[in-house]
Amino acid sequence: MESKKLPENSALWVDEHGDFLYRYAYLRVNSKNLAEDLVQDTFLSALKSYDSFGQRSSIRTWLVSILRNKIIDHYRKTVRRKDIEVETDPDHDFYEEGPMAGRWREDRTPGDWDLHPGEALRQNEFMRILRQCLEILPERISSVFILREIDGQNSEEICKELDISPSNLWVILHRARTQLRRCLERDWFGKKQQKDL
Amino acid sequence: MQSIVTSVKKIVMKLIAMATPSCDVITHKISESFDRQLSLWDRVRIRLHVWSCVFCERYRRQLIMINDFLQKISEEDLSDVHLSAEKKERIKESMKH
Repeated sequence: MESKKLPENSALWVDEHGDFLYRYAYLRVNSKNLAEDLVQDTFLSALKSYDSFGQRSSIRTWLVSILRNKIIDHYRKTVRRKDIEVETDPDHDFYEEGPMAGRWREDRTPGDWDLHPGEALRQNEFMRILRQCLEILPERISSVFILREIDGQNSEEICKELDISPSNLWVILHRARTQLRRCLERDWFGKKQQKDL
Repeated sequence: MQSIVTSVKKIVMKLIAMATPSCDVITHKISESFDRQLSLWDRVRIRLHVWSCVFCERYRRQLIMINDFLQKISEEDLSDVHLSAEKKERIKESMKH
């Protein structure tokens, strides 16, 4: 049987686009091994479907679209509807009973984070800790949140792609913001206050 | 005179806090407002609540700040992250089969 002819320079794709695709995947799945596997799968799928690549876009755009589909497939597996429906927030910011029910717990009240435009150092520190906090979000929460906030997709698109209901989506996004906020309050604002004392 | 104004303001704020949903509910609504258009009623309730509750107002400003910074995250920030030469060779090898 005659072996399939490879597109010209296909090995060069790895050198030219490998790192970019790897960063794209790593930012979205937060695991080096998984990002490597997804990139490898992307190149293999690209080879298989090269005939259908009409060169209407650049090779990189085409490769990113293949990788993106693979990331969405991975997200779909991690976002299991049942898990999210039964999950409750184990670390509540509000009083659960008594006359103060539903109000902020005294030890959880949000701090005054205001950053002023000239405070570049503090802004860099905020960004660094935000990235760290994003990395420790549970995968099924971070996947939805990344699609929404980093890729800027709207709610309808995410619900359709991940096969989840809008109310589920809002619960997940709220949980992601709550956990990020809490993490920043502790690791950025809390440490800043300690330094200021 | 000023103490009367302050007292009246405190009472009005308390009444608003009692008349609007709890902070727990309002924070959910604030988060939701980032993802969809809320009803006029919900928007009014949030506005009134954050006017009378400094913590929910801070929460709202914190979410805006997190959102603003998230928009700045991109692949460019990961310039030190790259595929190892070994992994690249393995991928090239797999593409030959």
